[in-house]
Amino acid sequence: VTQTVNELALQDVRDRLRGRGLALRTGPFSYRLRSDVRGIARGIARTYADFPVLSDHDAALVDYHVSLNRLRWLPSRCQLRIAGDAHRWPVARANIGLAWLEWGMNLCVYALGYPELVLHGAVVARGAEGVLLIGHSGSGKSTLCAALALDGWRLLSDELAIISTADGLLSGTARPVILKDRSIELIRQRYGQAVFGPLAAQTHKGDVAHLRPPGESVRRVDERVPPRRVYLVQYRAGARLRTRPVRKGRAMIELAKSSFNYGLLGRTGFLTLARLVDRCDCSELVYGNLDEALSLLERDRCGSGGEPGTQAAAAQATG
Amino acid sequence: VWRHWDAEHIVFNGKSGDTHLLDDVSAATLRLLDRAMEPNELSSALATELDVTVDQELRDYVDRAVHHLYALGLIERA
Repeated sequence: VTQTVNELALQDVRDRLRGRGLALRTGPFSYRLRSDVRGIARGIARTYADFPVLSDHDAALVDYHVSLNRLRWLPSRCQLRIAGDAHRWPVARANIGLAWLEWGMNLCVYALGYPELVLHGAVVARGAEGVLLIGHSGSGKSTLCAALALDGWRLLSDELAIISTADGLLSGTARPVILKDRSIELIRQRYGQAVFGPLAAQTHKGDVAHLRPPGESVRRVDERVPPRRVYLVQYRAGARLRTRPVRKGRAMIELAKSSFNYGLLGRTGFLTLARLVDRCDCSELVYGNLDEALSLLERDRCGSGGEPGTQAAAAQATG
Repeated sequence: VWRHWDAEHIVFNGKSGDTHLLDDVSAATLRLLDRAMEPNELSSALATELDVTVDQELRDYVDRAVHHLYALGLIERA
């Protein structure tokens, strides 16, 4: 029987973080987290409540080691280290430690390599229909992703969209959704059931808080989905909802730019991404009102008939 | 490696690892340059492929396209 974080006493989480490490599994990745920073244990207990804790036996072979410890000579600051001392991040205020730790967990995947194609994007699903939301930091991608997840869509990922190089299916880690600034209050007010970790104020990306992913999404994280739609998302305050198809060539370039390891994968990355674009309807989505954007995604989903890719232009590959 | 969607052509350069989005004419130029050609020969072949007549405008366009493809590392000097 797999134990989850919410089955551990808070003191146990704290002791593990300060001792042998808290070993977690998040989809295809496993982490051993260590930290002596105050508030991290409580933050993890809140935001990772439904995630499986690895047994000592399984924890012997985790993928990534991440530590966030206070500086001995300046305890109000902390240092993030990945893979022992292989990667160090700049020193941060200890009171934004959880956000730092989260970014460190992402950095593991970006920096230490992974054999599947990884995009900076959110993945949500309804039934067997995978939807990719692509956008830069501040594009409103995570806000939309959080709202969809709390509206009953299955959250696969907020930050790391994983595309199998073997069969093109989408997967994710179902880790907490990172919300910033006004999005935090927007989601909090809109969804009474939303559970957040502590607020990390005034980070380099603004005020940040992590939304606990729905338990069902965490439990079903290993269920992969075929990609069906790609939205290039852009939030603009006050903007009216606008959507239009994006030609596949441009979509492919945009997706390649949003990938962390497309270049590393070479020909395999190209073929994997081309197959994704083949199978998906690709659109730009500009929104200024969350309700409008959510309605559009629901409408697109209900309006999708036939097999994925039937609206796509005929494509052929050579070489 | 190529991928074609209507008038859009994506080509992956295995040597540089770069991916490029090409229009119809550049893609046709690149395809024709699969074998070495003189500029006039290339213009004629392209005119045939695109069903247009060879004129100075086409020659200039081909010249620019060849320089562009060279700058991208998609073709090399023979």
